[in-house]
Amino acid sequence: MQPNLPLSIISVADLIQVINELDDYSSNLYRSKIKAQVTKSKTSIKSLKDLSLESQSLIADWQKLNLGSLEKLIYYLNNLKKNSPKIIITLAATADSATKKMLADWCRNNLANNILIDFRFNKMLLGGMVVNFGSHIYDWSFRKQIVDQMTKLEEVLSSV
Amino acid sequence: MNIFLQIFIYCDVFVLGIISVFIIRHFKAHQHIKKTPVHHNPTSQNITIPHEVREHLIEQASQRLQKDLDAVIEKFNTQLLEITDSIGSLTKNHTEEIINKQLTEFNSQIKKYEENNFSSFKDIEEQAQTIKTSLENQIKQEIETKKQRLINYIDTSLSDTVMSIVFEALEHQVDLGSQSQYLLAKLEEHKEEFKNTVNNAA
Repeated sequence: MQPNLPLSIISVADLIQVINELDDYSSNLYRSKIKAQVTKSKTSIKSLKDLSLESQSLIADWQKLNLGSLEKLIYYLNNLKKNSPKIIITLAATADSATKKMLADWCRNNLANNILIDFRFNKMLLGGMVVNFGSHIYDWSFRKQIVDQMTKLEEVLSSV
Repeated sequence: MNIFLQIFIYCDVFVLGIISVFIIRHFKAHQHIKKTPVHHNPTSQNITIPHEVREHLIEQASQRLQKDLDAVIEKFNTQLLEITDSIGSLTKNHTEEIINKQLTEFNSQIKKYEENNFSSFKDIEEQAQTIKTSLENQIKQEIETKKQRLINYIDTSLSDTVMSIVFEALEHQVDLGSQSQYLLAKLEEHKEEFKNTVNNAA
């Protein structure tokens, strides 16, 4: 049993950010411990609270499941970065956090637990979305619908 | 034709020769008759022939000569007519033969030319038909291509126009919040297909 990614970690960039943060935290922790051993004095160790909520959530889940050290978590996250399915969702406007979470939630519940989603925007889509997965493209944009309905539009125009 | 003319002339010469021979013989015969009393009977010079007898003899001689000449002329005329007839018939036969031969050759040549012309006309017609068909096909194809290009151009232009109109209308009013239900509905609609794609890729 391994922890799922929190909904706040949606894209590869988010995951990399968390990995870097945890890596940094781990290094800092390691250095602090060595320093404490050498100097035998109390050194200020960076608190978990200084980390982002995503990192805190991941560490909490990891500890709850008793899966081992922080390095293992980082290793696990790096594996996720490499092996998780990745999709690109292009929207007609910049996606806000709620929309991102909503779509990520649906994808993780229905497609894959730790799927990573990269959000992009293209205002020429006019609305709807385009989903890219590997070589597959699912175009559910308004633009596509308008183009598909062009024949009807031509018929209407010709009858005018 | 020259051969027949030559034959005709030769015949004429021949006939004239015959006539000349007759005339010369006749002339010599009369000359001999006149001379004989002079040479063989020299005493006859002294014979005096009365004027009436002499006149009568001359008259008789001239009549005989005239009769002989008439006979010769008649004979000559008859022969000339016969020769003319025979030459005419011969010429006619030869002419007919030559004309027939020429006509046959001419007909055969005409037939040959007709056949050649017919075959060449047929070839030309076939070639023209082939060229016509190929041109027709080419023109049809070109028209179809141009038509398709125009249709595509109109489609594209129309699409672009509609897009730009809609885009202008929506420019800053795209609300993803109001689209969220639509987005989820689309995902749900294609859920199985999408899931299969993701699983297959995994």
